[in-house]
Amino acid sequence: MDYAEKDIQPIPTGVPAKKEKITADSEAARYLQMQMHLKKESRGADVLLILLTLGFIYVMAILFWVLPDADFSAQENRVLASAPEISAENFFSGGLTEQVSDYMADQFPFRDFFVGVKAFSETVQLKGQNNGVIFGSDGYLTARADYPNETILKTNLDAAAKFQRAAEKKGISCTAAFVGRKQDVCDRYLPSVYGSYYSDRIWGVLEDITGSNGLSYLNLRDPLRSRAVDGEAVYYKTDHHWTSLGAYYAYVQVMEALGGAPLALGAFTAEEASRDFYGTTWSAAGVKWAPPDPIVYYHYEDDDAYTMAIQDNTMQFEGYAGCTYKERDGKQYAIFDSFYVREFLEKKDQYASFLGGNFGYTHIIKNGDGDRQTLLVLKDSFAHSMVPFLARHYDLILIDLRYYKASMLQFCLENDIDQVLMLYNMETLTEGDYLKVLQAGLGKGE
Amino acid sequence: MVFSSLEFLFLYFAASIMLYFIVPLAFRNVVLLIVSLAFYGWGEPIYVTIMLFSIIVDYICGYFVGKYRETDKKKARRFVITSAVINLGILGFFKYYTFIVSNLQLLPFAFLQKIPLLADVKLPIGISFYTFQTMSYTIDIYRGDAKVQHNIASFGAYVTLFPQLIAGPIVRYQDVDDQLRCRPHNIALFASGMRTFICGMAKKILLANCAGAMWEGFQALSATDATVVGAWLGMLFYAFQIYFDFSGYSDMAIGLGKMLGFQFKENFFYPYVSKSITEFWRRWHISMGTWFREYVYIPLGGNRCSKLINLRNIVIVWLLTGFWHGASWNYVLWGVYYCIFLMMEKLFLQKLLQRMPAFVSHLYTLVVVLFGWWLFVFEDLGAGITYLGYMFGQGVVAFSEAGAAFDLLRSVLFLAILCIASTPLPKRLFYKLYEKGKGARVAISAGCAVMLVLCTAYLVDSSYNPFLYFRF
Repeated sequence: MDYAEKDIQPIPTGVPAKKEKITADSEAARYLQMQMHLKKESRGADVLLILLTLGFIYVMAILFWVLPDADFSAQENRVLASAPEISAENFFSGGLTEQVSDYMADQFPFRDFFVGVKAFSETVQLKGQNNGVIFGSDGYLTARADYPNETILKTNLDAAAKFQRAAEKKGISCTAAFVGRKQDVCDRYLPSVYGSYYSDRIWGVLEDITGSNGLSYLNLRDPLRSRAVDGEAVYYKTDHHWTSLGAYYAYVQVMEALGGAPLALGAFTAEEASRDFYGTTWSAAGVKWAPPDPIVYYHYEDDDAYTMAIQDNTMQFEGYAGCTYKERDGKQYAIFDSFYVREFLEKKDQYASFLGGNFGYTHIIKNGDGDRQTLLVLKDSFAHSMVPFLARHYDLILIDLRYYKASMLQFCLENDIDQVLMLYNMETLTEGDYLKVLQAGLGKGE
Repeated sequence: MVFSSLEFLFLYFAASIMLYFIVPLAFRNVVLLIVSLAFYGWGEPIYVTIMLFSIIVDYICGYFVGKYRETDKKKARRFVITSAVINLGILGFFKYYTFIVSNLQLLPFAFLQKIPLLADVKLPIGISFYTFQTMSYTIDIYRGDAKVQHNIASFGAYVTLFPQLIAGPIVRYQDVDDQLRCRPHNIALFASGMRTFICGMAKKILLANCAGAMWEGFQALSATDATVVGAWLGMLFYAFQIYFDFSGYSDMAIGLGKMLGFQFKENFFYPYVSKSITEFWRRWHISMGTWFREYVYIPLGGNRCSKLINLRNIVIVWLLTGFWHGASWNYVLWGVYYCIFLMMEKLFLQKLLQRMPAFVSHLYTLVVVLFGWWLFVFEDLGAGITYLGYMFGQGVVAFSEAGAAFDLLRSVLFLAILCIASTPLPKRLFYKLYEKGKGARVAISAGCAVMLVLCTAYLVDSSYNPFLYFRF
């Protein structure tokens, strides 16, 4: 165990080393000697250590082989890696190594438990966030966003402005309404040094762009923000969407902009449809101990009188209560007699119970009332929880431009659209140039 | 495969350890060779042939060096040179060829432009480490520091030894010569190895990876969100990342070695407590420093020669040290940078520093090292200069802003943990506790198991990426 002097010489720095008492090796040797010296006395502890560590490793290894693979992670909303194909070709190309790594990580036993352990460890170290989600006060979990992409914002807003002008030329009134991200609206729950992180700056940029391209729009961030400041729950704590209450406040603003009279909140009956909604930011944060949100449905007296048709060629609602499929022009439509698909309340993604999630084309009419105006809503998923309010006033066609690509001006003329509402969240506006397609078919000079 | 991965712990390690301890002593080196080749081949299914080639070449060269070293020094010398040329040739081709050719092509000669760049030849993992190790074998035999290893399986096991195969420490043959023939296997040593391994893994996963994630965030700063606070914080996190990453990896290697009965030398000795650059390099990546000293510096004459030759030797060693870290000019600059400080310390600075209060010399060292890491991390010098600008307020949006302030605030405790973990304090406390009595040792065992679970949790989580906006 004794290291000769020559083993612990310094490296060639050219400076004669000061005679050092302790070196890395002498320290290590001393400690090892201590452990060997205590060999007999510490045998129990050593055996315990080996049993615990090797036990953990072997038990997990065996469980990994024995437990059946999961296909889909509801927590992460994604398909998990499955067992890789073992072949020489796959191995020598280097693909197998990576696939085994993914497979192992995705199918690791008690995966969700370990994710929670990591989140707990980060919390204890006061790191303030985990997996890109900030732990706000009062249970608010907010995705941390980089400063958004101004170029994409401009592309989208320019397209929207052109479309707005073209539509109004044809006599179709076209309203744009922009929704704040959770950090824009609920910043009072974020750590005060972080605040709303450049929220004012990006909304200022939006103001500038619309100022120069002539797009007139309704700002839904500020009114909701003042509600949030008053302590009203306008966004879910565990999700990035607004709550039904938040959607109601936005609906009031939107109705005024559309030139209609919004119904009072008291005219609706609130139903707490779920008490255990764990949303997207909860999943990402891994904080298994954080409390869930309730989901509220606002019902109106004529609730039974509506029909919703969702274009869905995958027929994913097959067998759902109250759903029938009808085929028209080679396309499948799921027909519901409600805005809500309650099956989703039993699943992880409960927000999808509004309108059944994201689809390119959804049509909502009031049965036996042919005199109503038709409102075309170009939207992202924030619109879904506003639909139960808007539908009292208009027949609705909802188009998600990410999945439904066509000339919208043409569409308006062919479907006798009376008014258009473009309802978009800042996140959507800055994430991809989804609105660019609005320029299609506008003709020259536009 | 890296140690800090689920497939290493729960597939490879689980299987290898079992196999290793099931077979009789006489076959353990063979098992070691096989599992090590599997370890390397798993990540480098094709390049494993280079390693086999290197083993055969050095086995043969070593054999002849041993045969002739007493009788025909000249012949023995020729085999040492053959081994060195082949090893350095392999290293040179895979690591430096593209770099050298692309730099030569900057010269205005037409024939140079015709040399193919071979840009898709990728660097075999760990080649810098194992070529140095195999070279040390023939040299040590030539010098009489080690005996010839006649058993090719044992020699192969030395070269491929999976614990230190891909990131060191660089084990010299003379240090494990005897251990390859006979080494102890017992519960106390295995447990000690497990403790070292888990400690290394915690350094790598809980400290280095988290510090690295912070650094990556700051590194990506652009003209729209760069701040002075963020840039400094980023550099600081990088300094912690590289230390805990590398020393954590070395600890894992040393721990695995102990489990298998080997005693490798330490590779790090709390470098960030140094009070001079000279001291820093005595504490940082010790095995590499030792290698360059033993096989380059001393053969060149070391310091037992005129001052001028001595300075020349230092320059050569540091140019090589820099270049060894990577085929890019920034590594060369990094070597030159340290060379300059070391020479200054040798000439006058060391004496000056010794007269200063401790915190001044400590601060000086840390600042020099920090800017050293700045040189080290940016292979693209342009990006490096932009980042340096951020550190001094050039091209930033503000001195600080919400994001940087929040990051600073939320890493206060983490930074404190990183600082304390860089000092000898935790280890000394640990052994105080260990000596204390049986109860303390049982608690340590339980603590190690908890650490292992925690590291597993971080590994599992690293693959956890919810599609936040998969569907709006």
